[in-house]
Amino acid sequence: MTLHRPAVVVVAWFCSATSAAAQQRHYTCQEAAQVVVAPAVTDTQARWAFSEIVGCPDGPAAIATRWRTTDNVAHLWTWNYLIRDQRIAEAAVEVARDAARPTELRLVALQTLISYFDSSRTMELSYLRNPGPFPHLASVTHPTTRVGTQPPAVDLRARVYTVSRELTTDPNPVVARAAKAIWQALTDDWPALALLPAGTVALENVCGQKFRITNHNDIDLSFQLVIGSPYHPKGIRIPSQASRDMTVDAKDSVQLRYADREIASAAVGPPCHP
Amino acid sequence: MAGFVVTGTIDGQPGTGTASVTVTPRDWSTKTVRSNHTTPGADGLPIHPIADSSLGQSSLDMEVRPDVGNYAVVIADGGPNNGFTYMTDIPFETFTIARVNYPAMAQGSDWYLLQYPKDKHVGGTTYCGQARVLTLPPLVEAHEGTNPANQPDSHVGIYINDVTRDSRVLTEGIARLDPKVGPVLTQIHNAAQADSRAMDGDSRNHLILPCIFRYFSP
Repeated sequence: MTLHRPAVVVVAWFCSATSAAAQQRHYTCQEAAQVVVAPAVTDTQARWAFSEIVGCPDGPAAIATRWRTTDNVAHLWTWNYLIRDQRIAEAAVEVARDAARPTELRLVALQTLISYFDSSRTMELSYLRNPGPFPHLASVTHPTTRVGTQPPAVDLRARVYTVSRELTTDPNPVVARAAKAIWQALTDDWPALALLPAGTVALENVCGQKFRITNHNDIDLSFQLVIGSPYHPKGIRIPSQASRDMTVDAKDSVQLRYADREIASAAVGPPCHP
Repeated sequence: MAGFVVTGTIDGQPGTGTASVTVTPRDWSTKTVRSNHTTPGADGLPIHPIADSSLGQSSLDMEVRPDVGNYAVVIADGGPNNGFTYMTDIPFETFTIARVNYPAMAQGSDWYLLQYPKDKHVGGTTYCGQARVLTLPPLVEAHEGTNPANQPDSHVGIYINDVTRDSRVLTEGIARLDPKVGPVLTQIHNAAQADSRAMDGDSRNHLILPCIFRYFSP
Protein backbone atom coordinates (compact mmCIF):
# COMPACT_ATOMS: atom_id res chain seq x y z
CA MET A 1 0.00 0.00 0.00
CA THR A 2 2.68 2.38 0.97
CA LEU A 3 4.51 1.33 -2.20
CA HIS A 4 1.58 2.47 -4.28
CA ARG A 5 1.05 5.78 -2.61
CA PRO A 6 3.88 7.68 -4.42
CA ALA A 7 2.64 6.39 -7.80
CA VAL A 8 -0.89 7.56 -7.06
CA VAL A 9 0.43 10.96 -6.10
CA VAL A 10 2.50 11.23 -9.29
CA VAL A 11 -0.45 10.20 -11.49
CA ALA A 12 -2.74 12.60 -9.70
CA TRP A 13 -0.22 15.41 -10.08
CA PHE A 14 0.27 14.60 -13.78
CA CYS A 15 -3.49 14.55 -14.44
CA SER A 16 -3.90 17.76 -12.56
CA ALA A 17 -1.06 19.42 -14.45
CA THR A 18 -2.36 18.19 -17.81
CA SER A 19 -5.83 19.40 -16.99
CA ALA A 20 -4.49 22.78 -15.90
CA ALA A 21 -2.47 23.10 -19.12
CA ALA A 22 -5.49 22.21 -21.19
CA GLN A 23 -7.58 24.71 -19.28
CA GLN A 24 -4.94 27.39 -19.81
CA ARG A 25 -4.81 26.55 -23.51
CA HIS A 26 -8.60 26.84 -23.69
CA TYR A 27 -8.50 30.32 -22.16
CA THR A 28 -5.63 31.37 -24.40
CA CYS A 29 -7.54 30.28 -27.47
CA GLN A 30 -10.68 32.02 -26.27
CA GLU A 31 -8.78 35.26 -25.77
CA ALA A 32 -6.96 34.95 -29.09
CA ALA A 33 -10.24 34.38 -30.92
CA GLN A 34 -11.73 37.52 -29.36
CA VAL A 35 -8.78 39.57 -30.57
CA VAL A 36 -8.82 38.05 -34.05
CA VAL A 37 -12.49 38.84 -34.66
CA ALA A 38 -12.29 42.31 -33.08
CA PRO A 39 -12.63 45.11 -35.61
CA ALA A 40 -9.55 46.96 -34.34
CA VAL A 41 -6.53 45.59 -32.50
CA THR A 42 -3.13 46.91 -31.53
CA ASP A 43 0.01 45.58 -33.19
CA THR A 44 1.06 43.85 -29.97
CA GLN A 45 -2.32 42.16 -29.58
CA ALA A 46 -2.29 41.14 -33.22
CA ARG A 47 1.22 39.66 -33.08
CA TRP A 48 0.28 37.49 -30.14
CA ALA A 49 -3.25 36.51 -31.03
CA PHE A 50 -2.78 36.08 -34.76
CA SER A 51 -0.02 33.55 -34.07
CA GLU A 52 -1.77 31.72 -31.24
CA ILE A 53 -5.00 31.33 -33.16
CA VAL A 54 -3.38 29.05 -35.73
CA GLY A 55 -2.95 26.31 -33.14
CA CYS A 56 -6.43 26.58 -31.62
CA PRO A 57 -9.12 24.01 -32.48
CA ASP A 58 -11.57 26.75 -33.40
CA GLY A 59 -8.87 29.07 -34.74
CA PRO A 60 -9.95 28.59 -38.36
CA ALA A 61 -13.48 29.70 -37.42
CA ALA A 62 -12.08 32.96 -36.05
CA ILE A 63 -9.85 33.38 -39.10
CA ALA A 64 -12.87 32.78 -41.34
CA THR A 65 -14.75 35.49 -39.44
CA ARG A 66 -11.81 37.80 -39.96
CA TRP A 67 -11.97 37.10 -43.70
CA ARG A 68 -15.59 38.16 -43.71
CA THR A 69 -15.14 41.32 -41.66
CA THR A 70 -11.82 42.92 -42.53
CA ASP A 71 -10.41 44.52 -45.65
CA ASN A 72 -6.83 44.34 -44.32
CA VAL A 73 -5.16 41.70 -46.43
CA ALA A 74 -1.85 41.45 -44.55
CA HIS A 75 -2.82 38.98 -41.86
CA LEU A 76 -5.09 37.00 -44.14
CA TRP A 77 -2.12 36.43 -46.39
CA THR A 78 0.12 35.38 -43.52
CA TRP A 79 -2.42 32.86 -42.26
CA ASN A 80 -2.38 31.36 -45.69
CA TYR A 81 1.24 30.37 -45.02
CA LEU A 82 0.30 28.61 -41.86
CA ILE A 83 -2.92 26.67 -42.05
CA ARG A 84 -5.42 24.98 -44.35
CA ASP A 85 -8.97 24.47 -43.15
CA GLN A 86 -12.34 24.08 -44.83
CA ARG A 87 -13.83 27.02 -42.92
CA ILE A 88 -11.12 29.37 -44.17
CA ALA A 89 -11.57 28.12 -47.72
CA GLU A 90 -15.33 28.72 -47.49
CA ALA A 91 -14.73 32.28 -46.33
CA ALA A 92 -12.26 32.86 -49.17
CA VAL A 93 -14.80 31.58 -51.69
CA GLU A 94 -17.38 34.02 -50.32
CA VAL A 95 -14.97 36.95 -50.45
CA ALA A 96 -13.79 36.11 -53.96
CA ARG A 97 -17.39 36.15 -55.16
CA ASP A 98 -18.45 39.28 -53.27
CA ALA A 99 -18.40 42.20 -55.66
CA ALA A 100 -18.80 44.61 -52.74
CA ARG A 101 -15.39 43.72 -51.26
CA PRO A 102 -12.21 45.55 -52.33
CA THR A 103 -10.49 44.28 -55.45
CA GLU A 104 -7.20 43.55 -53.67
CA LEU A 105 -8.96 41.48 -51.03
CA ARG A 106 -10.77 39.46 -53.69
CA LEU A 107 -7.44 38.80 -55.40
CA VAL A 108 -5.96 37.57 -52.12
CA ALA A 109 -8.99 35.30 -51.77
CA LEU A 110 -8.40 33.88 -55.23
CA GLN A 111 -4.71 33.43 -54.46
CA THR A 112 -5.61 31.65 -51.24
CA LEU A 113 -7.89 29.27 -53.07
CA ILE A 114 -5.08 28.29 -55.47
CA SER A 115 -3.11 27.05 -52.47
CA TYR A 116 -5.98 24.68 -51.65
CA PHE A 117 -5.29 22.99 -54.98
CA ASP A 118 -1.62 22.60 -54.24
CA SER A 119 0.16 24.38 -51.41
CA SER A 120 3.37 24.55 -53.45
CA ARG A 121 1.75 26.49 -56.29
CA THR A 122 0.57 30.08 -56.43
CA MET A 123 0.08 33.16 -58.52
CA GLU A 124 1.74 36.20 -57.01
CA LEU A 125 -0.55 39.17 -56.41
CA SER A 126 1.56 41.26 -58.77
CA TYR A 127 0.78 38.71 -61.47
CA LEU A 128 -2.92 38.44 -60.66
CA ARG A 129 -3.25 42.20 -61.01
CA ASN A 130 -1.92 41.97 -64.56
CA PRO A 131 -1.77 38.38 -65.87
CA GLY A 132 0.48 37.47 -68.77
CA PRO A 133 -0.54 35.88 -72.06
CA PHE A 134 0.34 32.32 -71.00
CA PRO A 135 -1.12 31.86 -67.52
CA HIS A 136 0.40 29.16 -65.39
CA LEU A 137 1.05 28.57 -61.72
CA ALA A 138 4.26 29.77 -60.10
CA SER A 139 6.06 27.55 -57.65
CA VAL A 140 6.72 28.35 -54.00
CA THR A 141 9.28 26.69 -51.80
CA HIS A 142 8.63 25.37 -48.30
CA PRO A 143 4.83 25.19 -48.41
CA THR A 144 3.03 24.82 -45.13
CA THR A 145 1.48 21.48 -44.28
CA ARG A 146 -0.56 22.30 -41.17
CA VAL A 147 -4.19 21.29 -41.52
CA GLY A 148 -6.92 22.62 -39.21
CA THR A 149 -9.52 20.61 -37.37
CA GLN A 150 -11.76 20.70 -40.44
CA PRO A 151 -9.53 19.53 -43.31
CA PRO A 152 -10.34 20.73 -46.82
CA ALA A 153 -13.27 18.77 -48.23
CA VAL A 154 -12.79 16.29 -51.04
CA ASP A 155 -14.84 18.40 -53.45
CA LEU A 156 -13.05 21.67 -52.64
CA ARG A 157 -10.83 21.54 -55.71
CA ALA A 158 -13.82 21.19 -57.99
CA ARG A 159 -15.58 24.07 -56.25
CA VAL A 160 -12.54 26.34 -56.50
CA TYR A 161 -12.27 25.45 -60.15
CA THR A 162 -15.92 26.38 -60.65
CA VAL A 163 -15.46 29.66 -58.79
CA SER A 164 -12.53 30.63 -61.00
CA ARG A 165 -14.57 29.85 -64.11
CA GLU A 166 -17.63 31.76 -62.88
CA LEU A 167 -15.63 34.83 -61.97
CA THR A 168 -14.30 35.21 -65.51
CA THR A 169 -17.51 37.15 -66.17
CA ASP A 170 -17.26 39.27 -63.02
CA PRO A 171 -18.15 42.94 -63.59
CA ASN A 172 -14.82 43.92 -62.04
CA PRO A 173 -12.36 43.59 -64.95
CA VAL A 174 -9.35 43.06 -62.66
CA VAL A 175 -11.05 40.17 -60.88
CA ALA A 176 -12.33 38.76 -64.18
CA ARG A 177 -8.84 38.79 -65.73
CA ALA A 178 -7.30 37.19 -62.66
CA ALA A 179 -10.01 34.53 -62.58
CA LYS A 180 -9.48 33.77 -66.26
CA ALA A 181 -5.75 33.33 -65.66
CA ILE A 182 -6.40 30.99 -62.74
CA TRP A 183 -9.03 29.05 -64.65
CA GLN A 184 -6.61 28.56 -67.55
CA ALA A 185 -3.72 27.52 -65.31
CA LEU A 186 -5.84 25.09 -63.28
CA THR A 187 -7.27 23.61 -66.46
CA ASP A 188 -3.81 22.96 -67.85
CA ASP A 189 -2.57 21.35 -64.63
CA TRP A 190 -5.76 19.44 -63.75
CA PRO A 191 -7.50 18.90 -67.11
CA ALA A 192 -9.89 16.31 -65.70
CA LEU A 193 -11.71 19.10 -63.86
CA ALA A 194 -12.74 20.76 -67.11
CA LEU A 195 -16.27 19.98 -68.17
CA LEU A 196 -16.54 19.92 -71.93
CA PRO A 197 -20.28 20.06 -72.65
CA ALA A 198 -21.44 18.23 -75.75
CA GLY A 199 -20.80 20.19 -78.89
CA THR A 200 -18.11 22.43 -77.45
CA VAL A 201 -15.32 20.45 -79.10
CA ALA A 202 -15.58 19.14 -82.63
CA LEU A 203 -13.40 16.87 -84.72
CA GLU A 204 -14.27 16.61 -88.41
CA ASN A 205 -12.60 15.36 -91.53
CA VAL A 206 -11.91 18.04 -94.10
CA CYS A 207 -10.75 15.65 -96.78
CA GLY A 208 -8.31 12.77 -97.04
CA GLN A 209 -6.02 12.84 -94.04
CA LYS A 210 -6.81 16.44 -93.19
CA PHE A 211 -8.82 16.99 -90.00
CA ARG A 212 -10.23 20.07 -88.31
CA ILE A 213 -10.46 20.45 -84.53
CA THR A 214 -12.68 23.23 -83.19
CA ASN A 215 -12.71 24.46 -79.61
CA HIS A 216 -15.91 26.36 -78.80
CA ASN A 217 -14.96 26.74 -75.13
CA ASP A 218 -13.87 30.03 -73.57
CA ILE A 219 -10.51 28.58 -72.63
CA ASP A 220 -7.50 27.17 -74.48
CA LEU A 221 -7.38 23.38 -74.37
CA SER A 222 -4.64 20.83 -74.96
CA PHE A 223 -5.74 17.67 -76.75
CA GLN A 224 -4.16 14.51 -77.98
CA LEU A 225 -4.86 13.30 -81.47
CA VAL A 226 -4.43 9.54 -81.64
CA ILE A 227 -3.47 8.35 -85.08
CA GLY A 228 -4.04 4.63 -85.64
CA SER A 229 -1.89 1.94 -84.12
CA PRO A 230 0.61 1.68 -82.54
CA TYR A 231 -0.51 4.30 -80.07
CA HIS A 232 1.37 7.50 -80.76
CA PRO A 233 -0.70 10.52 -79.78
CA LYS A 234 0.10 13.91 -81.18
CA GLY A 235 -0.36 16.86 -78.86
CA ILE A 236 -2.23 19.90 -80.09
CA ARG A 237 -3.41 23.01 -78.31
CA ILE A 238 -6.44 24.84 -79.62
CA PRO A 239 -7.09 28.40 -78.45
CA SER A 240 -10.54 29.25 -77.19
CA GLN A 241 -13.15 29.74 -79.90
CA ALA A 242 -10.71 28.65 -82.60
CA SER A 243 -10.10 25.87 -85.11
CA ARG A 244 -6.93 24.15 -86.27
CA ASP A 245 -6.45 21.98 -89.34
CA MET A 246 -4.03 19.08 -89.17
CA THR A 247 -2.89 16.70 -91.85
CA VAL A 248 -1.81 13.43 -90.29
CA ASP A 249 -0.63 10.04 -91.43
CA ALA A 250 -3.85 8.21 -90.58
CA LYS A 251 -5.03 5.09 -92.38
CA ASP A 252 -8.62 4.69 -91.18
CA SER A 253 -9.58 7.15 -88.49
CA VAL A 254 -8.29 9.41 -85.73
CA GLN A 255 -9.40 9.88 -82.14
CA LEU A 256 -9.41 13.09 -80.17
CA ARG A 257 -8.61 12.63 -76.50
CA TYR A 258 -8.76 15.08 -73.61
CA ALA A 259 -7.69 14.33 -70.05
CA ASP A 260 -7.05 10.69 -70.95
CA ARG A 261 -10.53 10.09 -72.36
CA GLU A 262 -11.78 9.92 -75.91
CA ILE A 263 -14.13 12.74 -76.77
CA ALA A 264 -14.45 12.43 -80.55
CA SER A 265 -13.34 10.43 -83.55
CA ALA A 266 -13.47 10.86 -87.31
CA ALA A 267 -12.73 8.68 -90.33
CA VAL A 268 -10.32 9.45 -93.13
CA GLY A 269 -12.26 11.04 -95.99
CA PRO A 270 -12.10 11.01 -99.76
CA PRO A 271 -8.87 12.37 -101.25
CA CYS A 272 -8.31 16.10 -101.17
CA HIS A 273 -8.34 17.94 -104.51
CA PRO A 274 -5.76 20.63 -105.08
CA MET B 1 26.44 20.30 -95.10
CA ALA B 2 23.74 19.36 -97.60
CA GLY B 3 23.55 19.35 -101.38
CA PHE B 4 20.61 21.02 -103.05
CA VAL B 5 19.36 20.62 -106.59
CA VAL B 6 17.37 23.59 -107.83
CA THR B 7 15.15 23.45 -110.90
CA GLY B 8 13.67 26.61 -112.36
CA THR B 9 12.85 28.62 -115.41
CA ILE B 10 15.13 31.41 -116.64
CA ASP B 11 14.12 33.49 -119.61
CA GLY B 12 11.57 30.86 -120.51
CA GLN B 13 14.16 28.08 -120.56
CA PRO B 14 14.17 25.30 -117.96
CA GLY B 15 17.40 24.98 -116.03
CA THR B 16 18.92 22.99 -113.23
CA GLY B 17 21.68 23.88 -110.81
CA THR B 18 23.28 22.42 -107.74
CA ALA B 19 24.59 24.07 -104.63
CA SER B 20 26.09 23.02 -101.33
CA VAL B 21 24.60 24.58 -98.25
CA THR B 22 26.13 24.42 -94.80
CA VAL B 23 23.84 25.10 -91.87
CA THR B 24 25.73 26.03 -88.73
CA PRO B 25 23.85 25.97 -85.42
CA ARG B 26 23.65 29.41 -83.90
CA ASP B 27 25.57 30.08 -80.73
CA TRP B 28 23.13 30.63 -77.87
CA SER B 29 25.72 30.33 -75.13
CA THR B 30 25.96 34.07 -74.58
CA LYS B 31 22.21 34.60 -74.46
CA THR B 32 20.72 35.04 -71.03
CA VAL B 33 17.22 35.03 -69.66
CA ARG B 34 16.02 38.41 -68.53
CA SER B 35 15.71 38.22 -64.76
CA ASN B 36 13.30 40.15 -62.54
CA HIS B 37 14.22 39.41 -58.94
CA THR B 38 12.83 41.02 -55.81
CA THR B 39 13.77 40.67 -52.16
CA PRO B 40 10.86 42.11 -50.16
CA GLY B 41 12.06 40.91 -46.75
CA ALA B 42 9.53 39.00 -44.67
CA ASP B 43 6.60 40.07 -46.84
CA GLY B 44 3.95 38.23 -44.87
CA LEU B 45 6.06 35.44 -43.39
CA PRO B 46 4.82 34.96 -39.82
CA ILE B 47 6.58 36.86 -37.04
CA HIS B 48 6.07 33.71 -34.96
CA PRO B 49 7.61 30.94 -37.10
CA ILE B 50 6.04 27.51 -36.78
CA ALA B 51 8.75 25.62 -38.70
CA ASP B 52 12.01 26.11 -40.62
CA SER B 53 9.82 26.82 -43.62
CA SER B 54 8.58 30.01 -41.97
CA LEU B 55 12.07 31.55 -42.07
CA GLY B 56 12.25 31.99 -45.83
CA GLN B 57 10.37 31.31 -49.00
CA SER B 58 10.96 31.72 -52.69
CA SER B 59 8.51 32.21 -55.51
CA LEU B 60 9.59 31.01 -58.95
CA ASP B 61 7.94 32.00 -62.20
CA MET B 62 8.67 32.89 -65.80
CA GLU B 63 6.77 34.63 -68.57
CA VAL B 64 7.04 35.37 -72.26
CA ARG B 65 8.73 38.74 -72.81
CA PRO B 66 6.32 41.37 -74.08
CA ASP B 67 8.94 43.08 -76.33
CA VAL B 68 8.47 40.69 -79.25
CA GLY B 69 10.39 42.94 -81.65
CA ASN B 70 13.57 42.46 -79.64
CA TYR B 71 13.70 38.67 -79.83
CA ALA B 72 11.63 37.47 -82.80
CA VAL B 73 11.97 38.07 -86.51
CA VAL B 74 9.18 37.59 -89.03
CA ILE B 75 10.39 37.00 -92.59
CA ALA B 76 8.52 39.42 -94.82
CA ASP B 77 10.31 39.24 -98.16
CA GLY B 78 7.46 37.80 -100.21
CA GLY B 79 9.47 34.62 -100.79
CA PRO B 80 8.67 31.04 -99.97
CA ASN B 81 9.39 31.61 -96.26
CA ASN B 82 7.22 34.69 -96.03
CA GLY B 83 5.59 34.88 -92.61
CA PHE B 84 8.02 32.41 -91.06
CA THR B 85 9.02 33.47 -87.54
CA TYR B 86 12.21 32.59 -85.70
CA MET B 87 13.90 33.71 -82.50
CA THR B 88 17.03 35.82 -82.27
CA ASP B 89 17.07 35.98 -78.48
CA ILE B 90 15.57 34.09 -75.58
CA PRO B 91 11.87 35.02 -75.46
CA PHE B 92 11.41 34.38 -71.74
CA GLU B 93 11.98 36.31 -68.55
CA THR B 94 11.98 35.03 -65.00
CA PHE B 95 10.08 36.55 -62.09
CA THR B 96 11.45 35.44 -58.77
CA ILE B 97 10.99 36.54 -55.18
CA ALA B 98 13.18 35.59 -52.23
CA ARG B 99 11.47 36.29 -48.92
CA VAL B 100 13.53 36.24 -45.74
CA ASN B 101 11.92 36.51 -42.32
CA TYR B 102 14.34 39.08 -40.87
CA PRO B 103 12.04 40.31 -38.07
CA ALA B 104 11.67 36.82 -36.64
CA MET B 105 15.44 36.27 -36.70
CA ALA B 106 16.33 39.58 -35.05
CA GLN B 107 17.91 39.82 -31.63
CA GLY B 108 15.23 40.02 -28.94
CA SER B 109 12.39 38.88 -31.21
CA ASP B 110 9.74 36.60 -29.73
CA TRP B 111 11.25 33.69 -31.62
CA TYR B 112 14.76 34.57 -30.45
CA LEU B 113 13.53 34.62 -26.87
CA LEU B 114 11.78 31.28 -27.36
CA GLN B 115 15.17 29.57 -27.77
CA TYR B 116 17.33 28.35 -24.90
CA PRO B 117 19.99 30.92 -23.94
CA LYS B 118 22.70 28.49 -25.14
CA ASP B 119 22.76 25.23 -27.10
CA LYS B 120 21.16 22.62 -24.89
CA HIS B 121 20.89 18.83 -24.96
CA VAL B 122 17.47 17.59 -23.93
CA GLY B 123 16.65 13.90 -24.12
CA GLY B 124 19.01 13.18 -26.97
CA THR B 125 18.05 16.30 -28.92
CA THR B 126 20.31 19.33 -29.27
CA TYR B 127 18.41 22.59 -29.28
CA CYS B 128 19.96 25.71 -30.80
CA GLY B 129 20.73 28.55 -28.45
CA GLN B 130 19.74 32.15 -29.02
CA ALA B 131 23.09 33.08 -30.54
CA ARG B 132 22.43 30.74 -33.46
CA VAL B 133 19.30 32.71 -34.38
CA LEU B 134 21.53 35.63 -35.26
CA THR B 135 23.62 33.48 -37.61
CA LEU B 136 20.56 32.48 -39.61
CA PRO B 137 19.81 35.47 -41.88
CA PRO B 138 22.81 35.03 -44.22
CA LEU B 139 22.19 31.27 -44.32
CA VAL B 140 18.53 31.74 -45.22
CA GLU B 141 19.48 34.39 -47.79
CA ALA B 142 21.89 31.93 -49.41
CA HIS B 143 19.29 29.16 -49.27
CA GLU B 144 16.49 31.15 -50.89
CA GLY B 145 18.71 33.27 -53.14
CA THR B 146 18.59 36.97 -52.37
CA ASN B 147 21.55 37.44 -54.73
CA PRO B 148 21.08 34.54 -57.13
CA ALA B 149 23.97 35.42 -59.44
CA ASN B 150 26.32 34.60 -56.59
CA GLN B 151 24.19 31.84 -55.08
CA PRO B 152 23.90 29.13 -57.75
CA ASP B 153 22.76 26.52 -55.21
CA SER B 154 19.92 28.67 -53.90
CA HIS B 155 16.29 28.07 -54.87
CA VAL B 156 16.25 31.14 -57.09
CA GLY B 157 19.77 30.55 -58.43
CA ILE B 158 18.96 27.00 -59.49
CA TYR B 159 15.71 28.10 -61.09
CA ILE B 160 17.23 30.94 -63.12
CA ASN B 161 20.24 28.87 -64.20
CA ASP B 162 18.03 25.96 -65.28
CA VAL B 163 15.70 28.27 -67.20
CA THR B 164 18.70 29.83 -68.93
CA ARG B 165 20.26 26.47 -69.78
CA ASP B 166 17.07 24.97 -71.18
CA SER B 167 16.04 28.15 -72.98
CA ARG B 168 19.34 28.15 -74.87
CA VAL B 169 18.53 24.69 -76.18
CA LEU B 170 14.81 24.98 -76.81
CA THR B 171 14.58 28.50 -78.22
CA GLU B 172 16.31 27.40 -81.42
CA GLY B 173 13.34 25.14 -82.14
CA ILE B 174 10.75 27.90 -81.84
CA ALA B 175 10.57 28.58 -85.55
CA ARG B 176 7.52 28.21 -87.77
CA LEU B 177 4.74 30.17 -89.35
CA ASP B 178 2.86 30.43 -86.07
CA PRO B 179 5.41 29.68 -83.35
CA LYS B 180 4.11 28.34 -80.06
CA VAL B 181 6.13 29.64 -77.13
CA GLY B 182 3.59 28.70 -74.46
CA PRO B 183 4.27 24.94 -74.41
CA VAL B 184 8.03 25.56 -74.39
CA LEU B 185 7.62 27.95 -71.47
CA THR B 186 5.62 25.37 -69.54
CA GLN B 187 8.20 22.65 -70.23
CA ILE B 188 11.10 24.81 -69.06
CA HIS B 189 9.26 26.18 -66.00
CA ASN B 190 8.10 22.78 -64.79
CA ALA B 191 11.57 21.26 -65.03
CA ALA B 192 13.33 24.24 -63.44
CA GLN B 193 10.94 24.60 -60.50
CA ALA B 194 11.10 20.87 -59.79
CA ASP B 195 14.90 20.95 -59.75
CA SER B 196 14.92 24.05 -57.56
CA ARG B 197 12.55 22.53 -55.01
CA ALA B 198 14.48 19.27 -54.99
CA MET B 199 17.43 21.17 -53.56
CA ASP B 200 15.87 21.04 -50.08
CA GLY B 201 16.58 17.33 -50.00
CA ASP B 202 19.92 17.00 -51.72
CA SER B 203 23.57 17.97 -51.35
CA ARG B 204 23.02 21.49 -52.69
CA ASN B 205 21.22 22.41 -49.49
CA HIS B 206 23.77 24.20 -47.32
CA LEU B 207 21.28 25.17 -44.62
CA ILE B 208 22.25 22.42 -42.22
CA LEU B 209 22.71 23.08 -38.53
CA PRO B 210 23.95 20.82 -35.73
CA CYS B 211 20.87 21.58 -33.67
CA ILE B 212 17.17 22.31 -34.00
CA PHE B 213 15.18 25.38 -33.08
CA ARG B 214 12.06 25.59 -31.00
CA TYR B 215 9.00 26.90 -32.80
CA PHE B 216 5.65 28.40 -32.01
CA SER B 217 3.42 25.44 -32.62
CA PRO B 218 0.84 25.28 -29.84
